Amino acid sequence: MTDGGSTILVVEDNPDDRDLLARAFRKAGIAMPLRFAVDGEEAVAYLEGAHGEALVSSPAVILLDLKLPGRSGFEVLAWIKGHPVLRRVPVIILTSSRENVDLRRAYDLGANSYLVKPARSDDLLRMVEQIHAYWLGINQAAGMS
Amino acid sequence: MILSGNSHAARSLPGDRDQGTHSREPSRRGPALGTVAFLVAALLLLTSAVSLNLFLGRVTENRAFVLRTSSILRNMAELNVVVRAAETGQRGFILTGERRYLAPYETAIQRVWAEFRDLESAVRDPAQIDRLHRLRPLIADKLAELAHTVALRDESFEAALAVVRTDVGQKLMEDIQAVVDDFEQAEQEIMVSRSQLLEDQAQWATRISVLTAMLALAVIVVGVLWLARQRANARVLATERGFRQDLERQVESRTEQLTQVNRELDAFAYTISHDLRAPLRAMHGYADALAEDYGPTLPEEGQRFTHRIMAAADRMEALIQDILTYSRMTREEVRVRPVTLDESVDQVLAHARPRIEETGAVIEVGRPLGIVSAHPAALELVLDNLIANAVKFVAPGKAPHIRVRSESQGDWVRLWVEDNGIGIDPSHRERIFQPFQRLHGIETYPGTGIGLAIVRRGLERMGGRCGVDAEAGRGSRFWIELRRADGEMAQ
Repeated sequence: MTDGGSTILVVEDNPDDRDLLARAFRKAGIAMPLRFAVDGEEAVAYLEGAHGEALVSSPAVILLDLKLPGRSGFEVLAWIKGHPVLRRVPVIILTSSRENVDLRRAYDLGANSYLVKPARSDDLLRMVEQIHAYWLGINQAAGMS
Repeated sequence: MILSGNSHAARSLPGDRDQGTHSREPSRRGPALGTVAFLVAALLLLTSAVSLNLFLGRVTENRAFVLRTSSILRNMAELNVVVRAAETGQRGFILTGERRYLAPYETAIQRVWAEFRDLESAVRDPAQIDRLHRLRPLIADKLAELAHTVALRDESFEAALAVVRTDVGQKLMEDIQAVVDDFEQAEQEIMVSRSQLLEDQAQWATRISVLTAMLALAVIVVGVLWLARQRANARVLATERGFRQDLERQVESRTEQLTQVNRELDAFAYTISHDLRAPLRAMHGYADALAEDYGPTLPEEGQRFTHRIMAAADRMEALIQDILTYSRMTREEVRVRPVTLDESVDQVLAHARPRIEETGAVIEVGRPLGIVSAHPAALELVLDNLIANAVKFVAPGKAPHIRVRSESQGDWVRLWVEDNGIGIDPSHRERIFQPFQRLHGIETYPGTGIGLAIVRRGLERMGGRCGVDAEAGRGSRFWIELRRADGEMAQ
C-alpha cells in the first residue's frame, strides 16, 4: 500500500454501473472503501471538502466517467489537474467511449490512464483486479502532506 | 454516404473545369491572332501612307518643274518676239526715216535683257544654259547691228541701207532663230518627258492612295472585329467567373452541409457508444451476477434464460462495436504510408492466436509479402476481419487451413487469403461486402455481418480494392490490392 490515501473515489452517474463496479470490487476482495459521486459537482465538492479538512486525506485514486450530467468528466479532470495538490492523485478515466477525440482530450488534460468499461462482468472483475494491483499496488503515489 | 457524396462532388468538379478550359482555349488564342492582324494592317497602312506622302511630294515637285518649263517656253517666245519687234522697228525707221517707227524698237531694246535675265534665272538644264550662253552674244551682236544702222540712218538712208545690204543683220537673225528653235525644241522635249513622269507618278499616287484607303478600311474592320472579340471575351470571362463563383459557393455550402452531417454522425456515434452501451452493460452485468450469485438456486430453465440474456448482450456489444468501427473507418482520417505486409500479418495473427488455437487452424504465410502503401491500423483491421472470416466459415468438425500469400501486379500488390471453408455461392459475391449482409443463420455462424463491409471500406479509404474468388463448397479466396511502396521504403 502507498501512503497516498485511503479511499477510492468513483465519479459515475449510472446507478447500474456504480452497482456492478461495487460488486466487482467486493468480488475482488478489495478492502479499500469506495466513495461514490453521482456527478461532477458532487465530485468537486467532495474533493474540496477532503482537501479542506486536514484530517481527511485525498483519495488514493479517482475513477472518472467522462459523460456526466452538468459538469462533465473533462471539466472535473481539468479542475483536478489544475489543483495544486489534487493534481498528483492518479485519475483513471473509466468510460464507454473509444472515440479518439475523447482519448486525446483526456490525455491532453492529464489523465493517468484510460479504460473502457467492459460489457461482461468477468472482464470487469479482471479490470478491477488489475487496477488494484497496479494503481494501488506497484504504482508509487506522491505523498499528499 | 458521406464518402460517396464527396467523391461525386470531386468527380463532377474536374469535369466542369475541363469544359471551362475547352471553351477558353480558342478565345485565348483569338486575341493574340487579332492583335497580330491589327498590328500588321496598321503597319501596312503606315507604310503606304508614308510612301503616298513621298509620291505626292514628288508629283508636286514635278508639277512645279513642268510649270516652270512652260513658263520658260513662254519666256523664250516673248524674247523672240521682242528681238523681232526691235528689227521691225529698225526696218520701219530705215525705210521711212520717221522717228515714230522707232517706238517698237526702243521698247524692245529696253525689254530684251530683262526677258533674257528672266530666262537665265529660270533655266536649270545644263544643255539649255549652254544654249542661252550661245544666244547671248548673238542677241548682243544683233542689237549692236540694229543700233549701228539706226545711227547711220540719222546721217543717210544709203549708208544704213548699205549696212543692211551686207546681210549681217539677216544672218544674225537667222542664227538667233536657229538657237531659239533649238532651245524651244529641247525645252519641249523636257516638258514632254516631265509630263510623262508626272502622269506616271500621278498614276502611282492614285494606286497607292487606293491601297491606303483599302488598308485603312481593313484596319478599321479588323479593329472593330478585334474590339468586338475582346468585348465578347470579356463577357465570356465574366460569365465564366460568375459560374466559378457560383460553383465555389455551391461547393462551400455543400461542404458546410457535409461537415454538419459529419458532426451529427459523430454525435450519433458518440451517443451510441455511450448511451446504448450503458443499459447493455447493466443487462450483461446483472445477468452475470444472477448466474454467479444465484446460479445454483435457479431452476435449469432459469439458468438457460440467464445465459440467453448474456449471449444476446454479447451479440449486441459486438454489433455496436462493429458499427462504430465501420463508422470510424468512414469518418476518421486515413493517411497512407509504406507498410510491410509481413509485419501487419504477424500482428494480426498474434492478436488472433486464442481463436486460432481454439479452432486448431493451420495458417501458412508465403513470405515475403511485400511493402504496400497503407494505413497500418486500417490494414490490420482489414486483415483481422479476413482471417477471422477464414477461421470461422469452415464446415463443422473441419480444421481451418488458411494460406496467406501475395503477388505483384504492376504497381499493385495483391494479397490472397485462401481457406478451405464452406465457400460462397458466386451469386453472393458482391452482397457479402455490404454492411449487415449475412448468408447464414446466427446460430450456424455467429457474426454481425459487418466484417467484410469494414474490409471494403478500409481498402477504399486506402485507395485499394478487394474481391473474392469463390465457389460454394470449394473454399474462398479473398484478395485485397494496395499500391506497391517498395521504392518509397527504400528512400
